Amino acid sequence: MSEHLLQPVPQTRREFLSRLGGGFGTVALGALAAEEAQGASPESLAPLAPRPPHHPARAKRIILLWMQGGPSQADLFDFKPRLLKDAGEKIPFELAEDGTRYKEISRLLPPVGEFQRAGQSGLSISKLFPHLATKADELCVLRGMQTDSPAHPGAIRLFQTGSLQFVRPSFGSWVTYGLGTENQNLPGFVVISPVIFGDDGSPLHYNNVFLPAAHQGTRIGLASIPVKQSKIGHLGDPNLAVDLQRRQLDLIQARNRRDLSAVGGDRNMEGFIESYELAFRMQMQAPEVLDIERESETTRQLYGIGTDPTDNYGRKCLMARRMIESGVRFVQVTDWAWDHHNSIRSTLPKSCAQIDRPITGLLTDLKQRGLLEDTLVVWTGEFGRTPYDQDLSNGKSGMDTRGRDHNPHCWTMWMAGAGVRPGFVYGETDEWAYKAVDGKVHVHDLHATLLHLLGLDHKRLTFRYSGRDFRLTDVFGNVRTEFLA
Amino acid sequence: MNSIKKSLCAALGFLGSILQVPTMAASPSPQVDFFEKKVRPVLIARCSSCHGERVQSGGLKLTTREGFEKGGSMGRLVDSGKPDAGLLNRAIHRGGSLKMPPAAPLPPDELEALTRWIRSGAVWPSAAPAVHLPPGEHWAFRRIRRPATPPVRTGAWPKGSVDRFILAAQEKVGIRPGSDAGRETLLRRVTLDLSGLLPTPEESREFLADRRPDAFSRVVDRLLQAPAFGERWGRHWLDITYWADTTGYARRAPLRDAWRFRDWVISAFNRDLPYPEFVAAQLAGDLLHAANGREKAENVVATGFLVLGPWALFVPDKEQMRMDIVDLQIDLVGRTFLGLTTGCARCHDHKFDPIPTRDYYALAGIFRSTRTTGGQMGGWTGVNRAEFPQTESERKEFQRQVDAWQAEVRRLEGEQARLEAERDALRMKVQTASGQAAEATSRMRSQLEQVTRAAAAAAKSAKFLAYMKPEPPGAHAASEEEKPSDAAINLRGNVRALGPVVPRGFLQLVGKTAAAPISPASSGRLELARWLCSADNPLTARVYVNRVWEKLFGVGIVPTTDNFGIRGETPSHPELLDYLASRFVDEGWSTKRLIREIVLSRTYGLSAENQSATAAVDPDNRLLWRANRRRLEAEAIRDSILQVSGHLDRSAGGPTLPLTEENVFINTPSFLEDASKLPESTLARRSVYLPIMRGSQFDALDILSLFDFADPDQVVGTRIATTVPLQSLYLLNSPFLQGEARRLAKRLIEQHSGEEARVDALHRFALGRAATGEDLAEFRTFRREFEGGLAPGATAEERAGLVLARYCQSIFASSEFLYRH
Repeated sequence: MSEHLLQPVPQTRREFLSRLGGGFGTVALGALAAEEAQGASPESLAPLAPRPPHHPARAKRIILLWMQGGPSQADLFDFKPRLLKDAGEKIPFELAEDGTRYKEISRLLPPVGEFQRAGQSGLSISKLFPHLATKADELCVLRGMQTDSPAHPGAIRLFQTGSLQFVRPSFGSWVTYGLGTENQNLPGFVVISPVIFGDDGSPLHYNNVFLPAAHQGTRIGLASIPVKQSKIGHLGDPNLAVDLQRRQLDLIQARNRRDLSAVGGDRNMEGFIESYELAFRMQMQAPEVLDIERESETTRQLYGIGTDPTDNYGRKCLMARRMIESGVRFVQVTDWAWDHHNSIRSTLPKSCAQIDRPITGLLTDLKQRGLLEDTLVVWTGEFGRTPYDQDLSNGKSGMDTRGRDHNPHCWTMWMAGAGVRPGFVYGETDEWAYKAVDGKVHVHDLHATLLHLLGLDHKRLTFRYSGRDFRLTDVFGNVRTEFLA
Repeated sequence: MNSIKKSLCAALGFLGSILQVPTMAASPSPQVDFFEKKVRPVLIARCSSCHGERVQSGGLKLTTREGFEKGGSMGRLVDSGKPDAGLLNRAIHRGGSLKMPPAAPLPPDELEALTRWIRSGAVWPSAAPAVHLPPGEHWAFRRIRRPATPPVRTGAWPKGSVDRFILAAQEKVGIRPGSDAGRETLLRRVTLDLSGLLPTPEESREFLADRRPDAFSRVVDRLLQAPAFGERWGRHWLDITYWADTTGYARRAPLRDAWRFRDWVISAFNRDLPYPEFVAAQLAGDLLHAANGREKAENVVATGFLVLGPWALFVPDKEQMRMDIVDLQIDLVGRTFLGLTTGCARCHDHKFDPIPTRDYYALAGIFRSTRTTGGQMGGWTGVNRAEFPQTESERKEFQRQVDAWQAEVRRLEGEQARLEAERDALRMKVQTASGQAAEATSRMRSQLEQVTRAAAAAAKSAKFLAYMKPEPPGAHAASEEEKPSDAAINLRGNVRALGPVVPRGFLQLVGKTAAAPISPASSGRLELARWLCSADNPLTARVYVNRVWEKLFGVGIVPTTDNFGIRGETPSHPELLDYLASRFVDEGWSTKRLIREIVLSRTYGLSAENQSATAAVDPDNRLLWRANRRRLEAEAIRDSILQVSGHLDRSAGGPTLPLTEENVFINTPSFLEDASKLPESTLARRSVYLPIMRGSQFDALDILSLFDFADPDQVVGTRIATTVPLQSLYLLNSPFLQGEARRLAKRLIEQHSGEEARVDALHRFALGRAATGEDLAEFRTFRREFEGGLAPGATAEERAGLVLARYCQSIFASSEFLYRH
């Protein structure tokens, strides 16, 4: 059959739109109007249309640098001289219930790297992050993070969805549900290289669940595959002019709507219809946004692209910046190298080296472009690690093979950019960085605070489902202003 | 992620949980004893439904020490200075405005116990050892008893017992079932459910014309007898096994005989193998009596269930590897057959279910006495393999193959040697040719390049051929270790920190069963299979019938199909579940009979139409007052598109791994890549026969991962159905959809004259109904507008074909096609 008869796809967005103007479709034009109008649109018409926040927002969008596995606070941001001095000693403090089994067998493990004081603020930071240290005065560091589970599945779920055990909408889904998104040609919530298989990963962590399906996270790639090989497939039809494709889509959608009205209300079906519109619009902009080859060599080098071991995470971070710049509301950038149960002495430096330049480059780049003004960057894992060692060889191997176990009683995360106090450290842990003693911030509080920065009241951001009003923070969460600018 | 990590994270449960079971119980203090015996049971029985793990009314959680100490929104529960004035004491004595439990006062003995406990300081023991959950407490651990069919008010509605249970539950909350689905819808639904394909236009015509009262049950019987039934339901079973065509982890080494297990499962469903035999063959087929060599071979293949898994085989620590595999096997058996997360008890007693570590190692002994790995694969441990019994002629045939292979190897080696010699000679010449004319040198150089390439190609072919060495007919299978033995508890899951040895056995929570004890000379797999299906095991039948129900309705009676433990959800219709389970057992554990009874119910035949008043009462349709509309699974989407386009190759079974020199990366071990080319013939097969890789799919099969195919490394009793724009992009732009649509358009043009006839035929096959006037008018408008946009210069015929192809694609991409109504 003669597919060559169909005209080629126009190359530019302008051309695309001008062709549509004389063609059949109206939705894309409507989308453009929505993009330009800063006001609210009825949610039923365009679930991703930008909506006004509850109160003036400090941050417009979030990049979550997700360090899955649990980075070790005592080795990176929370220096404890006692740990250095008493290295090799038995555990001198009382253990929480999840750690009692280590009482007799574990020893205090000294920090992996040396620490340094960085910046005007004198932030204590590991020398394993030489690049990030140059940003010390921009970081807002929280040392007293709290979660409810010492196991990955629960702790990851709690962070990603606000619930330890139930299937609930993802944090990112709540954000786009609350605010819509600024660019109607891209998904509002994107997840780069997540873990979606095994006990520690699931597509459900990025799922809208009962929120409208348009708020589902769109995944690019998988943690196990270099992002270079990941792409969004089928982003366009090289054999079909776009106005003809719009005509074809109009046919599909007309039939979908007939089908939907034949049965009455059906959330999945509504989501199915909406996702076609988004897909169609993505075709014109996503290829360009995803193409980091368009960046200058200088920029690429800034992120460590093209060199080992930073290439992979550098690409992810640059992709995130391009998306944020194009108006994506929430981007998660996953790295999963942080579960250092054994040989932490040799593996942690590697994990750090893979991300140090990329995340520093991201902060520099965002700042240069003025994006850090209204973008919040969040760096965190699901929990921290123990100050004592975990010996998986039962005494047979040397100290160098040891690692640290999970620790839900404290961990360190940092934020940079819109709305947080730069060069500031909040929260304090005990002499061993085992438990937070001051300035504890629970995940629910963090969620409430991040929503607050986005202009959303976590108590008002609700969705009625099955006869009940649900919210990200359930019945918990307090906005914490202590570390806000 | 390494295996150690996996065990650790699986091991650590939630903080401060209840319902733990002691292992080697040290004698507790009297205070602890009093709490565990007198206080905690009261808190669980009387308080935990509102102040427990699921619900925390008033922010109060009374199932953990932390929750108790924290108190609720009204503050702390006890006042250590004035015990009688504390909140909890006042509430249970109903002194103030807060009276707990709200419905009725505590019985005197319980009230007394709590009071005493509060007065003595309300100590909640910190260390984990806690109460035994008596097996009878949790609904799923109770014996199955066949319930009486409930009375209903609308006696004319039910067709059978299933309907009475459903209707009774609806009447209880004052709702009524919706209308019945139309015959066309019902035929499409049942055909998709039982075969994974669409009814053909002939089948539709026949059914619609059949006015006999049993017309529908005839359709059901036809579908249950068709080979497609096993292809559909066998795939459901594969979802809850670890089956795939490759090994796990970073290296996807092909497993040449893995297809045999897939084919065995399909055939078992088609033969309606009684469930106990089905279970026994998979766990212990090698130990079953076989009447002849063929039966023996089949039984051996069935044990692929235990050996084809996501094991990390390419690891140096073999003891760790062995126990990690045992762990995955225990988890598989626990989830698949019992709906229990048994694997959680590797390092400590199960946090939620009454599965002590001891029970875990009782099972571990069984699998540790079973050979899963063996032989070798590219320098690493391989998957265990068993050869089939061979007849004399089969032996000869195999020898012939080996001889032919050897001859070919010799030929290739000779070729390689010849080319290499030629290359070396040329190289020498080029090196010593400094004095010769430039032209001659450059000719020699290009000749050298050519020969070098040819030598490299021959070397590659030789390597590949060596890899493809014929193996005697056999399968990846389990067998007995030479000396079966009990396993020692691995303290904290550490394979080198050994605790007491536990005799091989089963889970205590099931209570006493009539199953035979394990003979010292055997691993115990056969006994395990018998125990699973013994009449007094309450889980196996319940878990299985619930799986079947979930496939037919989209939601299980117990929605967590793989977790019937404390953390699982409770059944929406507990009596119906027990009715189905007991009937299943009484009727000889026949899957086909079970399915038949369910699909012949009136409930199954309901329409999907929404009723807003009923939806207000039951928005999730948990009481099944209407049919659930569901998106088709990846396989059904792909297969029905191929079916309608006329491209589907219905041949059954056989190997489909694309083992070609181009695809196999020869290494230690050799492996396949995502970009491997699949032959056209494979791409026309039903999806169940496609080769399946762990980790990520072949690029050519991206439809599977986009539409939520089950991860082979997990037990996936219930598939998730995501809705994301990446799927829409696939439907609009993928070469698969467009190619099949062109094929279909061509076929419609060949077989039908006139566009109305073509559009109507398309509707009849793809959507199971005639095209309406609206459909036809819509097509005409589409044709006019779309044709208008085409570049000039095409013939009318070309234009018509092109438009029709795009129209066919649009039908494939629409919800009416992609959803099961």
